[in-house]
Amino acid sequence: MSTILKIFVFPAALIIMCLGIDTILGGHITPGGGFQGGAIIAGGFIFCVMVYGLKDTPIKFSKEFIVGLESAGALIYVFLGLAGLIFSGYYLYNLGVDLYHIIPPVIKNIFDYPDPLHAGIIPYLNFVVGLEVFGSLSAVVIAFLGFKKEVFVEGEDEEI
Amino acid sequence: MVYFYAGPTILGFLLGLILGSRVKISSESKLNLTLGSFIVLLIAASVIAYLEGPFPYYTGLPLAPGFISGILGIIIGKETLGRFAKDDHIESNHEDNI
Repeated sequence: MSTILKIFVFPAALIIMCLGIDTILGGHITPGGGFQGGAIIAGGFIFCVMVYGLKDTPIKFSKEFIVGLESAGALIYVFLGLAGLIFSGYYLYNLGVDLYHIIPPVIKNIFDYPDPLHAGIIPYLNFVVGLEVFGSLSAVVIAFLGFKKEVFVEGEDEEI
Repeated sequence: MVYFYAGPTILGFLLGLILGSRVKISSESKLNLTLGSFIVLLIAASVIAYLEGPFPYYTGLPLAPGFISGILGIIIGKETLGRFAKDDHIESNHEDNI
């Protein structure tokens, strides 16, 4: 890749990742949310990987990191759903909003999201979905770039 | 009057910290991030956050709070946790997939 790209892409990727973070955090108010923001963050990573290569990219997602991230995202999602089931009887009940007024105020305050709308657990669900999506999309790209192409040449396997 | 909303600030900083902890520039790379680079990055991010504006109903804020806290999280995460980032994705993927 050209020198201009190598100078420009890393800070641009960081800015793109910030845009993804902002998209995740605005998911309960504006168009966007966990999936879209996670895809934008993964886009920033893919931008870096395409220009610098898998070996020299300055953003390094190791296998343990991606596995941990996806596991944490899925587990927190399930735990938020189970919390609703335990305290209200409904899976994924929005404990921070409590539309039916069936849970104690203490529990409601714990799951409240401190912003002007008080959207309850929706921003937290967006957050964990974002973790899950950017981890999985990055894993797909790393796997595709990590493959070696095998070509059958005159009776012998040869790796290119 | 400028208000402070804890939700997007904390979650944005957390996400930025997670991402910044994976930023590690190898010694063989020609990339060189100095203090000046971070200041330029922060100024550029502030301009973008100002142009993007806050979310609807977030009155009293001139900037996008998630954007600013995200870039702060990335910079702080890179400086504090970035040195521990491992770059083993190439070897581990080859072992698993081939």
